[in-house]
Amino acid sequence: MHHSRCSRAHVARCLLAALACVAGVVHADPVTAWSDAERSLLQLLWIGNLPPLPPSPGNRHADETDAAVLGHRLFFDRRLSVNGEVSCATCHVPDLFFADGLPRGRGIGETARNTPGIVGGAYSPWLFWDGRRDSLWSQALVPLETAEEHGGNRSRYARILVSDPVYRSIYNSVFGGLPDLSDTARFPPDASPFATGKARDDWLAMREDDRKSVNRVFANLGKALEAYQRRLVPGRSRFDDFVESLLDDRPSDALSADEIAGLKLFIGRAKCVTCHLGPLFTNHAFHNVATPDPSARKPDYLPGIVYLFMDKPDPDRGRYDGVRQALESEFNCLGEYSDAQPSDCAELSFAATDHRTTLGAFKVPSLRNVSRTAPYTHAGVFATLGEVLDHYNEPPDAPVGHSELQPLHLDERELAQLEAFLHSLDSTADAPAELLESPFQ
Amino acid sequence: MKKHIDGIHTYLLTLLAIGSLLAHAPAYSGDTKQFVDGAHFRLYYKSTTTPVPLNEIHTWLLHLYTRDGEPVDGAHFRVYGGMPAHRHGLPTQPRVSGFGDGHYWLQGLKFSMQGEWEVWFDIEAAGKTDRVMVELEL
Repeated sequence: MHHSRCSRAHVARCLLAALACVAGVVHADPVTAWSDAERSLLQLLWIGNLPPLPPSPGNRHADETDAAVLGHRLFFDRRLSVNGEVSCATCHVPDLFFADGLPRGRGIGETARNTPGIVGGAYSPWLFWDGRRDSLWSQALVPLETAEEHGGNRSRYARILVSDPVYRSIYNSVFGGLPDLSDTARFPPDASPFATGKARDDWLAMREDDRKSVNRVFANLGKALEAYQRRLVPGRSRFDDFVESLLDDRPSDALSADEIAGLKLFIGRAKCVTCHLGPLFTNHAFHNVATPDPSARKPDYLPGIVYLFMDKPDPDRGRYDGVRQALESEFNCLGEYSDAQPSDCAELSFAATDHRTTLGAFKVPSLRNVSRTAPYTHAGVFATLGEVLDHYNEPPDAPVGHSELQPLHLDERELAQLEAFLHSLDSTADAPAELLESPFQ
Repeated sequence: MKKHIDGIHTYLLTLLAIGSLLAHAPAYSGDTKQFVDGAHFRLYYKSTTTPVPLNEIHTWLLHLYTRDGEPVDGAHFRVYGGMPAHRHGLPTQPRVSGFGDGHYWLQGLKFSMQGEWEVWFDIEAAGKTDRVMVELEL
């Protein structure tokens, strides 16, 4: 009898033989056959695995429609800048997947970092490449007061909300209690703790409760912007169609043979899913992947010998500085302008600050629409996906801290397949069309 | 020929996998209460979320005993760790707080990637110091 040959003494050998046969079948058709382990990874990456929007405990108005209407207008309003020419949409351009196609963001001047897309940002516990804010609403406040971005200040923005009848009406219906700022002796037109010169002096001269009144309006401005941005979530891509068919055991022509080979590498030998895991292709964590720091690069016009003896700028330490800024921010989850209970703030309360974890680490970006959102890295140093993949294939030493990368030893064809796969992650945002354009058109 | 090589390859890999299973106790998955012994103390640990979740801040329950089985209160813990293969630490800074009879909460643990993790405990109690490590596979 057949099974008698698989007696106890031979069980292990029979099992191994069976496994070898299964492996043989899998290897016979690598394009269409997927192991259980591969299938479970694909399911983790599939958009159908995207959970409902996580709550925003710091913003009790985050899911209110009126707050989103206000935020949508504010997002496209160029009056929210020192020169009346910069809005959030200047750098987060809807037609460019809410990025800008530039190496580094350009508002009033050029920033030090690449503009990240914002679609799906509601799922991230940390915002900015260095995670220096812990909510979308507190994130939105930073560029508004940064000199190279909007260049304005909270006192000016509070005045716009008070003086614009549409804003005033929606603000009062959502948040209530818009203060009277007409006394310019108490409420200077331009004042902020982050300003320089007179605007900073004016802020410091204000009464503490008046400063808090302005801070509250400013925080609510951010909360309205969050309510709008939360509605921008990624849509289905060809990759998702492919996985859905696979999970249903249906044939699919959503991906080409090269794209499928690239996907196999992505979840296998190229180890991309080590960090780019989950339906947004990110673990939302911070890692040191040795991305070049342009501030440490020698300018072409300087002879090497001169550069050697020059004072050089400090390297970008990324999360090391970012987590410290988040912990100090008056607009963080534990601050007085947050609606959260302390128990809601675990990410902030337990944030790692040690240099081993944070030095030179930057946030793992989502890869949805990655082919359309060049240039890449926190400083936008790679113009193409090919350059990014070359970096991972033969990683250099980290400019600061310790790199987590190991060489991948992929050949040219495999790199091309990986790149082909990344193109299958393109999709439009899953949001009503009117939210993807300016409300002022 | 290729099939033949693949077959041998799989055979060897399977032997290796079975060998490593026999050589080591499986890494902690969170399903059961387990313990680890140091020079002076025995530390029991159990995740309150099972299996140990990926990318989610969660809590473990710890019990600390002397090697003679006496519960130890008032211990000071330093918790750290990371992924040796990727040369990075824990993405959070967990904290330990005691609530009597050798019981402690370990709060703020998070494992942000699949793979092998180590969680180290430096324990200071009753004038003695100890160091133990828990291995996890996510």
